[in-house]
Amino acid sequence: MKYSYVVPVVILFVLLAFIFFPSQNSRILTISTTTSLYDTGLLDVIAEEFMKDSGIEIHFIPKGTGAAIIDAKQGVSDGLLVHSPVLEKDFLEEMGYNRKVFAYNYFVIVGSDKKIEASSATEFLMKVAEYGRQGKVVWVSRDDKSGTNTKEKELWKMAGLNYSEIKNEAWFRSTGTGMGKTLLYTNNIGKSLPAYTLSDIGTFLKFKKDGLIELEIYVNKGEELINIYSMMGVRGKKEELFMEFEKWMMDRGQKIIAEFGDYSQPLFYPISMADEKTLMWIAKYGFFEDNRKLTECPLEFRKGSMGFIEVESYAD
Amino acid sequence: MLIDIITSEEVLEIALRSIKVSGIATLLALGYSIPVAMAIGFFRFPGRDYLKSFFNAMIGVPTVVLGLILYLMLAPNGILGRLGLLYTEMGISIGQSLLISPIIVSFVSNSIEAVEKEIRELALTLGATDFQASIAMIKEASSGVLLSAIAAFNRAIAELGIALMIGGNIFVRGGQNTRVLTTAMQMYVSRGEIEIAIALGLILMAIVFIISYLSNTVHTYLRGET
Repeated sequence: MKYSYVVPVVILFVLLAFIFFPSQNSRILTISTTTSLYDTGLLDVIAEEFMKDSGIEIHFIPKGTGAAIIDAKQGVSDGLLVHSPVLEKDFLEEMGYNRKVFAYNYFVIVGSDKKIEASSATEFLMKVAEYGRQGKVVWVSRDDKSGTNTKEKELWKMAGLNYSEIKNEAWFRSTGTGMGKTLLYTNNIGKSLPAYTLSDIGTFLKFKKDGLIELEIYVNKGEELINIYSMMGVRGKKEELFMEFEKWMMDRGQKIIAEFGDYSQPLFYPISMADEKTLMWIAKYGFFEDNRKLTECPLEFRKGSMGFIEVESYAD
Repeated sequence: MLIDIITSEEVLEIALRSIKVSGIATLLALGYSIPVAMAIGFFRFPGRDYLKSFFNAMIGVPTVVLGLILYLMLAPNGILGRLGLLYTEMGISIGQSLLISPIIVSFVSNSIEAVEKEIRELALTLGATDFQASIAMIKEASSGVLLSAIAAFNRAIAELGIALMIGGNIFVRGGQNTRVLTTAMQMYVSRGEIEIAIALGLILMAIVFIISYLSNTVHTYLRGET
C-alpha cells in the first residue's frame, strides 16, 4: 500500500526520459514552403525520393510565401521553396543565399461564367472592375500575402488599379485563406453571380479533376501570368545539407517535377526544359539585376559550386 | 473505400501518434496540475480565489492563441529556442499539456473541496497524520481526477491550433513525423481530398467515444465501491 504510488511515478519518469532524449537524426532539413507546391502532393514525392538518394530527411512546413519568410526569420527553416520574386529579393539580401529557379508554370484566371471576354490578364481585370462596379460580377482575392496574392497585386497595378483602394469595394471579396478554399468559395458564390479569381494551375487542375469545382479557365496566356518557383537557403543554417538538396533538385529533381501529376496538362515545368523565349520571361519577372546582367542570384549571395543562370539585361 | 483508408498503414500511424502525443500531454499535465490543485483544494492562502478564477478562465483559452505564443517562444530565435522543441512530437505534447492543465486543476480542486471537510475530520479522528489524511482525501477525490484526465485528453486530441503551429504536420515515410489526426484532416480538406478527411474524422470521434465510455464505466465502478 505504502509503495503503490512509487511504481507509476518511476514508470512515468523513465517514459519521460525516453521522450526527452529521442535518437536524433541530425540529417534533417526544415524547409518552409508555399501551399501551392505542397497541396499538389509534389513535395511528398520529392521528400521521399530525396530521402532514398541521400538519406537526408526533409521536413516541409507549408505556409504562404509571406509566412514562410517569417518562419525563416524566426530561425526555424534551413531553406525556402517559394514563388514571389518581389518578397524573395528582400529576403535574399537580408539572410538568404543561392537562390535557384527550379520550376515554373502559369497562373490562370478562372471563373464561373463567361461574362467577360479579354485577350490578356490586365484587360480582363479592367473589365472585372468595370462590371464589378455595376454589380454584375465579383472578384475573389486571397489577400493573404501569398505568392499568388503578390502576383494578383502586380496584375492589378498593371491594369492601372490601386489594390488597397479596390479592396474596400463591394465587388471585391477577400478570403484570407489558401488557394483550395478560395476556389471553393468562388465556385459557391459563382452560382448566384459570375465570380472570378486568380489561381495557380496546379491547385485548379486538382480541384477540377476531383469534381469539387465547376469553374473554367478564362485567361491562361501571357508572359505576365508566369509563376516562378525558386529555392534558397538561409545563411548559417545547415548550408551543406541544403546545397546537397539544391544540387539534387537541379538534377534528378527536374525529372520528377516534369513527370509529376496525372492531369490533362503538366502541373509544373522544370526550369531545365524552358525554351529561349520562356527563359526571357522568367528573367524579366523572376530575376534580379546584378552588374548590368539579370540573374537568379546576384554574385554576392552565391555559395559553393552551383551554376547560376545569367542573361544580358536588355532594354525594352 | 472508407475501410481501406482507415486500415491503411499511414492512417494508423497518424492515429497512433495522436493518441501517443495527447496521452503524454495528459500525463505531463496531471504531473504538475494535481499538486497545484491540491494546494488550491487544501490550503487557504491570499490570492487563492484569483488563482482559482485564473485557472477557470484558462479552460477556454483559444488554441491558436496558445499556439502562437508557444511558436514564438519555441522558434530557434525565441527565448526557449535552444530546447529544439518546435516541430517535434514532444513540442506538441508540452503545448497541449499547458492547454489542458487548467481543466485538471479546476476539476480536481473542486472535487477535493467537495470531499474535504468530512473525510479530513474523519481521518484525523481515526488517528491519521496530516499527510495520511491528505492521501485519504486524494483517494476519495480520485474519480474527479479520472474524470478530469479524460476531459483533458479529449480536449488535447481534438485540438488543432497547437498541433499545427508547434507540430507543423510533418510527414515523411520513416521519418520523425508530427502529423496527427487533426492536422491531417485540415491538410486533406485544403487539398480537396474530402474522403480521407472524413475517415480521419470518424477515427477521431471513435477514439473520443471509446475513451469516454471506458471512463464512465470506471467512474461508475469507483462510485459503487465507495
